[in-house]
Amino acid sequence: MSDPSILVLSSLAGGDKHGYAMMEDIERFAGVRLGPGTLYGAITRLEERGWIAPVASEDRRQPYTITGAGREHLEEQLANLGRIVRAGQRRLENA
Amino acid sequence: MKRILKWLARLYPPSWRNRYGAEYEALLDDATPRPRDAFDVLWSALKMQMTSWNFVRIVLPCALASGLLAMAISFAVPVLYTSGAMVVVQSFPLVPGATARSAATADGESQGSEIRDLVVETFADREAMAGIIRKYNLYPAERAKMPMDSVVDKMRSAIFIRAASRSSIDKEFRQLEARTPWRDPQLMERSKETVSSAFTVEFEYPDPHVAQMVDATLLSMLVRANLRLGESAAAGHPRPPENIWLMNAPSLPQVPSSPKRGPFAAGGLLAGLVGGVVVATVAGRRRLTFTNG
Repeated sequence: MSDPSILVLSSLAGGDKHGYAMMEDIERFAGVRLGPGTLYGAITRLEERGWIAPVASEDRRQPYTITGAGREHLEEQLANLGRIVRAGQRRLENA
Repeated sequence: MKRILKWLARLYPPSWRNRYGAEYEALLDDATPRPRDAFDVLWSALKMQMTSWNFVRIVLPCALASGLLAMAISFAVPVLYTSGAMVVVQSFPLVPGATARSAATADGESQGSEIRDLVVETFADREAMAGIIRKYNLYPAERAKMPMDSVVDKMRSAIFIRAASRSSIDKEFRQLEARTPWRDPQLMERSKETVSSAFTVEFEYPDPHVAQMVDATLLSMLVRANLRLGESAAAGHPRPPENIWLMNAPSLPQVPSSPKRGPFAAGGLLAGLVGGVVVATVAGRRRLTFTNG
């Protein structure tokens, strides 16, 4: 599972973060190191869709937060993934 | 590496850089860069360019206009047809039982250069070329305003000699077998073994029938020159001379060989795309300067 949008939303579900903090967090919990272009491509898309929003900051490092709509979307996506994971595991056990 | 990444970040659309530029640069400062990040940044910048408003407004029209212009030019330039035929070089083994391929390896350099010299000498004969030009009334417009020497140069630039690959030689043999089923298969196999190399002689001209006739004349010149060489070398030559023969008659081209409209238009489209990206980048920079200033 390496969809950058889901990884960014999952990272922000644990608290507000700026780009580099997201990159490190994602590498820690998913074992995937997103490149700077991929990460900011996902951030741009997610902000356009209203799933994340910038948090006021004086620093050059701009933190982001997950919005209500973003949380709903993440829950939906994770539920779908959960169903796929469970179905796959069941089939492997029965094989 | 950080400097490269920051330079590549300039390829993002100006509107994007305006919004995310500072924080993106902060990320590039914080992160430990890896070589593959350069590709990641470049690819993301290109994707962002393609989804930006500038792409639709500037790059796409530039690409379409350039593609259409290239297509229009391809219709304006003269259409040319190429007629060609394959010439097979047959050499006879010095040792009974050995094949021409091994004989060719043993003395390949001198054999190859012999035929090369023959081709060069034959088509360098300016008098003969001028004779063909007059006989088939080639290049009438050029002859009205150029000296014959220049017209001969033009004609020679329309003659193409290309080495044939082993697979294309085998393909021609298969076609020959299909065309002439009465031929003795053993004799055919023997002929195939004595073939050391092959090449095509092609001639390009606006009229396909004329192209075919001129190509036939060029080929007959070559065959005659080879026969003369064989006759003069027969006495005292250390080994039998090579023989060349035609695998097929010069083709009558059905479709133009030039211009190739598809690749021409695709090239125009690509050139327009690159030009459009440059224009969009320059236009975006100016707008930013005005906004900031």
